[in-house]
Amino acid sequence: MEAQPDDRREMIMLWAFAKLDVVAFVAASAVVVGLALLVLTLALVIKGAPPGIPVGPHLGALAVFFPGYSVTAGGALIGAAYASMVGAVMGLVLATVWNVAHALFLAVIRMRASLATYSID
Amino acid sequence: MDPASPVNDAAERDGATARELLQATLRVNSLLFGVILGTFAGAALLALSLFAGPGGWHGGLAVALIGTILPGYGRGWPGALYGLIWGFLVGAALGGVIYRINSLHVLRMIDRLVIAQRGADSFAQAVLRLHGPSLGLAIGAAGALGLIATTNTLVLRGTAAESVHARLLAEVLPGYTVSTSGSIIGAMELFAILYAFCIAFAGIYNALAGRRQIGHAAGGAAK
Repeated sequence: MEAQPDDRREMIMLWAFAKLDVVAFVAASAVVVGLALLVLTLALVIKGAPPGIPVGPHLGALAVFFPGYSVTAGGALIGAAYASMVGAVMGLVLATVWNVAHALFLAVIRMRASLATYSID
Repeated sequence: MDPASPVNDAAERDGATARELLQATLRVNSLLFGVILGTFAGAALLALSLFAGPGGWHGGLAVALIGTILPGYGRGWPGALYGLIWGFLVGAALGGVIYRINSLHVLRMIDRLVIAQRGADSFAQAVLRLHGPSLGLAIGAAGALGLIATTNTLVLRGTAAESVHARLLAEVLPGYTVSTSGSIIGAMELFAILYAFCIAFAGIYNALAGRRQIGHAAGGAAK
């Protein structure tokens, strides 16, 4: 059955102020960012380099920030673990800030609505 | 049914009202997302500039490369402030565009984008679901257009031949070159990669969020 107009407007408002599920967002961010570095590293390992030339020297510079990371199969897993942590932190910050901003906005709207209906009579 | 009937007129008015309401909420959320992304981008560029060391280590190279695209950006305080401003402007613009593209088909599938919750008071609440294809289109388009813009900036400046680091992108984007045609090939590949990652991201998020909300609902019913 098609949604009635009031239902539709309520759905729009629900969507507008819907919060992000922080745990799900953090988990998804961790998986995707970790997977991205894993795939990138393995792509370079598989592609290889001519003899005497290091594989992926620029990507390997990430070892400064991710101790133990290297452009090798084993290093790819280590890098993926680090990248997952970075992704999780980024996801946590983004989801939390989004939810807090919406909560504040909603609180302001509800306060103004309450003041508008307040009568001094 | 008569096309000019009052029922049709009322349905049209309600549809227009829903669209107006949606446009209003899109404006608010686009602004919010733009401010959040702009703040993060500005803060990231500021921090990178302040903590970057000389040469290739600890971000110095990254600062130098970004400085070729963002005038004024570099290591130290004046460059860091330029980075804060540029980062905010570019991040905010990108955030607004990404949110708008992501929300193109909201009205058509609004029922699938929220998981209703029972709030502590009578105020209805919801948890957002993500639509992977819309998110992929938004992020993919932003990434692809960004690659085209930055590559062609180098081409127009006449430094394409010296852009050794830009050419490294060909390692992950086969066919990419620091040229107009190469940027289009790279942009298409980048779009596909980002689209695939967004589909995966939305799939994981929706699956976990859905399970957690079912769990919360079951726990609430049991009490």
